[in-house]
Amino acid sequence: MQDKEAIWLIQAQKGDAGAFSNLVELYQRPVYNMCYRMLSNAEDAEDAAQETFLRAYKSMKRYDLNRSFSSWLLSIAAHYCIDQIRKRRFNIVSVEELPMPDLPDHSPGVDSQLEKAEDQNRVRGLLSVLEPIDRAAIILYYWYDYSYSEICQVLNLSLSATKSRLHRARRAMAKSWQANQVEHIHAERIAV
Amino acid sequence: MSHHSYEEMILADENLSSEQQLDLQQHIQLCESCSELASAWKVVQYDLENSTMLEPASHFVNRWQARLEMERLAKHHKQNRLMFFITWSAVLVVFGLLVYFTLPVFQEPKAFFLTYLYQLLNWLSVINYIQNFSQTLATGTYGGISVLWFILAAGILTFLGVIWLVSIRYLTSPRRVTR
Repeated sequence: MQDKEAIWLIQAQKGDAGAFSNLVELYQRPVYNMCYRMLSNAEDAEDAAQETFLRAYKSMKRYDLNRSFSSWLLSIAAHYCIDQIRKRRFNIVSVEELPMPDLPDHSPGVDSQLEKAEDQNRVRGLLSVLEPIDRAAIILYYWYDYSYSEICQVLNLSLSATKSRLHRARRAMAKSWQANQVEHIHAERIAV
Repeated sequence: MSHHSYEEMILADENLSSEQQLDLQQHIQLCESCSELASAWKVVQYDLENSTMLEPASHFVNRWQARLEMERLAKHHKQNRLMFFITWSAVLVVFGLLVYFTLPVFQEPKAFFLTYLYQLLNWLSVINYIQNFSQTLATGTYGGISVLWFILAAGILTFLGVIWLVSIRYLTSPRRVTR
């Protein structure tokens, strides 16, 4: 597969749209996942993923073949999503107001689907409390198993900044979870 | 050790030494805030580590190809609009210049015509001179050039013309997406 990928990359650099389509097929999942985790919305994630591949296709000539293609793609996706989140800030929308995600689920059983949707929703809530760059760093760390140095490269950060952002993000998520638990207990008491 | 250091140890992703673990456990038993943070982080970490990678809806590649095609068409339309704008700008400029230069004709037609008649005669004499010169040159060199060279030159010129036409056609037509 790696040999094929190398051939597709060379062909795509020469402007072969067919070869690039093969790369889209290969990397659609990681790119879409990054966009979804960043934007918390299936429709926006689809749009961002498409835009990421378009931008990559247009700048294929500038791509360094010695660099990891997935890192390069994820870097484009992360920066595009960060810009989108910053633009969104002009009209602030809370996580609860966002439309429910349309998650493709291939597992059978309604309970399993509901459980998965609940898990995804919880993760969505946790990520939503983070700053865009911190969010991207957390996504790269936990979903893509990227090392600190790889995160530095993708997000154009220094090593110390990456470490500090990850620490800050972990703390923010833990605090947010704590706050939600307190709210939940409070709501239960009121209900009783 | 400061409270902040314990927080860092709770949220750290690298493995702690047995001494550090013991120290942290002792602190957690005494400090309510750190204890709450540790249990909260445990849950969050579990959620993050067990969250699966999501897939886009099926036929993503087809949608991407359609979008690429749309982008190309939009770019082509933009180029066409730009060409249309440049052409019409050029036409307007030429028309403006024409109006500017023909304005004296309507103001003083006699003087204008006399001036231009004089210039025309000058040009005719120059053309006549070039014609005589070319005739002399052709008479001198015609005998040396064979018919084959004339055919070859005509062939090269035709070939260059075809290349020019094909290039123009290739550069101005929108490209298609192929798989």
